[in-house]
Amino acid sequence: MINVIYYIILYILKEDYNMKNKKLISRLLVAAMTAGTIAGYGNTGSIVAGAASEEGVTTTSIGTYTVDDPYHLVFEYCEVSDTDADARAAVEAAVNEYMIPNYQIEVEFLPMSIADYYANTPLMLSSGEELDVLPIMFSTASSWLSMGGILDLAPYMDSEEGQKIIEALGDEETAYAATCNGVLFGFPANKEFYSNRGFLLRADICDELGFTEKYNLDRPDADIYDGTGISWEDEEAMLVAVKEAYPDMTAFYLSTTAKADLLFDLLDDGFGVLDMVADREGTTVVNMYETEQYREHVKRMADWYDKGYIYKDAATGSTRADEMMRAGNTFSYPTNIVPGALIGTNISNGCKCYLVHREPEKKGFITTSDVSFMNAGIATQSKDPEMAFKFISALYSDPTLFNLWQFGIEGVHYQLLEDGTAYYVEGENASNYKYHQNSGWQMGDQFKGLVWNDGTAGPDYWDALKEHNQKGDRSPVYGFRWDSTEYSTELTALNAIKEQYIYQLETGTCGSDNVDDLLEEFNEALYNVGLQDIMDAKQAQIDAWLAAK
Amino acid sequence: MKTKGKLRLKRYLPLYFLFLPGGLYLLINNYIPLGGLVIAFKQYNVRDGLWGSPFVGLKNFKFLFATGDALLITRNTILYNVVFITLNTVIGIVFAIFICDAVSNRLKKVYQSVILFPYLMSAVILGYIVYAFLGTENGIVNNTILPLLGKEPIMWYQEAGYWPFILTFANMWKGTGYGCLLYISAINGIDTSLFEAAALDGASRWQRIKAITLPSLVPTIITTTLMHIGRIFYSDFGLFYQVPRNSGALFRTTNVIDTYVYRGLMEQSNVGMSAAAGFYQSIIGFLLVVLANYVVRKISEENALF
Repeated sequence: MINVIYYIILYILKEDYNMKNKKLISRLLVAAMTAGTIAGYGNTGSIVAGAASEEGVTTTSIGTYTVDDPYHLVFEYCEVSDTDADARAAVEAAVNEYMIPNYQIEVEFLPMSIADYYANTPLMLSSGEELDVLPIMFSTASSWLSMGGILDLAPYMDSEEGQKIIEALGDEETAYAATCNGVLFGFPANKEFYSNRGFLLRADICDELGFTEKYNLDRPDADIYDGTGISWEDEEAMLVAVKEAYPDMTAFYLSTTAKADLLFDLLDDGFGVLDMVADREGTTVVNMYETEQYREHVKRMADWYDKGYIYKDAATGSTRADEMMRAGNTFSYPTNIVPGALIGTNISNGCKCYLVHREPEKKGFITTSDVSFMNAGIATQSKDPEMAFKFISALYSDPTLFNLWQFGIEGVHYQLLEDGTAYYVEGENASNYKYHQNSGWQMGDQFKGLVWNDGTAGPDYWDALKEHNQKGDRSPVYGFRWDSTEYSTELTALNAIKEQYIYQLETGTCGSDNVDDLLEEFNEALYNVGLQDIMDAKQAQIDAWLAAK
Repeated sequence: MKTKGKLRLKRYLPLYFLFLPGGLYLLINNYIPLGGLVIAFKQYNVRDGLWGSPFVGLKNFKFLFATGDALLITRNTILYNVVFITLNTVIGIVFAIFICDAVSNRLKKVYQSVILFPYLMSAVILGYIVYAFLGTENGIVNNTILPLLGKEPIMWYQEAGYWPFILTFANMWKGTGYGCLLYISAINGIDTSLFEAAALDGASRWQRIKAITLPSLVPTIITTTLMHIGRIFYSDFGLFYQVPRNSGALFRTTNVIDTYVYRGLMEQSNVGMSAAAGFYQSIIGFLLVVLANYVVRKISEENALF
């Protein structure tokens, strides 16, 4: 607690310091910030059709940029792989060699570790530090918007650049998925948009006990949904046989981090959801913990726990499922399946595994929050948001830029393999590379970029993901985002209660005898702190959203 | 009068200089942040800043009382702290006396280090040590000790009733070494001639402890107890979150203010509500210190803090 306050005081001191020095620092900065603010608020209505571009010259409503006098753009992104600073500078130079003649934009990289990204970005947004394009997590968008830190991008959409983004993401719903309180704050990165529910099973035991043949498990493309799967009952039949053959083995591993996902549109926080099993097309907000789907699931888990299939410390354990599998005494666990998952799971589980889709929920579906986890947006202080928008558009339409940023310079930082995929150059690998990001999940259109061939993905990887995205059903309220700003007290209390009950229920540790009482107690507690208000508010917002559509 | 004041200032000037670094530290670290308390009453957002954010009255405090668990978590917090303060003081003194009575100086150091060691461990490790004993799947108690005694295994992480004892024991195991440090130094500070004189007069060891050691420790005990009372609304977050492994079934006896706040706010970073929780804890703590000090002053004035 004290730390929070202390941190804020430091921030004020910093602010004061800035205030005093503002007069002393060049007027340019003030002018630049003012320009940014005006661009953010005043001019948005009058933007005509994006930035006009002639050969080597770009004109926007704010300024004219040439090859000799390009727009200086600060590009913040999360850097998850450590990168050599000299190599990064070389890549930055290569990016500018390309961007200045073609876009009249001079890019300045601003890489952040994930922790720095969380901690520093709000401060940067509030202090007016130079910043144009940045990744925005859906979960922080609402607070960044309310503090006026990020721009509404809708005014820029009616342009060639906007069209390119919609084209890259496939359709308008997806392009507009990162909308919060009616404001379009960013564009989702193009990636796999959902995962299928399924099970992971240990191959040697499946082979030995005859499951492999019975359920046709041994398929190299089992991670791509082909319409087949097994039911909860099939899984139970396997667990019975495994328990009999290996009494000491954990037949079904569950923990606080490994739980079976059910088929709900959680509407961001899980308090008030759409039940996709009860009604695939329904738009009625219900309490997830009262649905038949949830009740049936927790009762099944409790039954399995009593019968000894489930890991005994499931409600308190946090060991990852693949680590348990690696330790060698586990038969199966629930998992989510995306194309390409099979090779990855074999590696992380340390043994040959089978993936199998789960019925009847085998076919996954796409919710707004799945799609817009991380998005490319523009900071309010951007001196020329039209140029920033041009840059974002390039991330979604220009593979040259995207590949340079993601993988570096061809022949120096990566090589093109014969099948068109990319890999480290000779002599470099995952531990001694100089430049490598492979983090296209945060911004841009990965599908236009190169496939990184580290053994888990082949040349047709993007095609497989695209096809996967086509197959998934969309939630009936796909594109809807709820505005929870008025309900933070209720949500805080609801979260505190949720923590108390869900692990006991969803891992079955409460036991069959208690499950009904516990579920009832849980729901009562939720309603006592205002679940109904949240559900009503969500319903009203959904109805309004549907009507506006 | 004036000259006298000046003279005093001059005389104490070197002392004020000595005080300066510490004073600055207190000012920057402890006094300036007091201004931040205003956040507890605001709908804080970064753009408007600390002073510009709108006032929302007591709205931020509402969530503390929203679930109806307020009474439970307050009760847990206070009862645990009362038990901890009492036990840690008693056991700390007992250990301090034992250690100070050890004949060999070298062994004295060994004992002291050995009981201090658990204090240096993080609560996460403590949590795993307890888990190694009490886990259902692999725990020593359920898989070795209870079967040896011919008893049924107990699902420790599902039974709230055991946890007041488990947590108290874990806290003692971890905290005793540190708790007795202060008393060891206090005992070492007692004039040894008192003990020698008492021994010459034929006082037994127990009589010496009762008549010399304990009375000399009273000011130390009062000061540390008062300081602990000031933090009676805080709890060792690691102990209450990591050791019960966040098991929902145990919340009845393991949920304290800090864990409640953490669970509620983990998924939404609401600065205002966090500040409100801190404000609540410190104000109540402050009032309790003033009250406790008042009581002490009534009983024995020279031992009161202020």
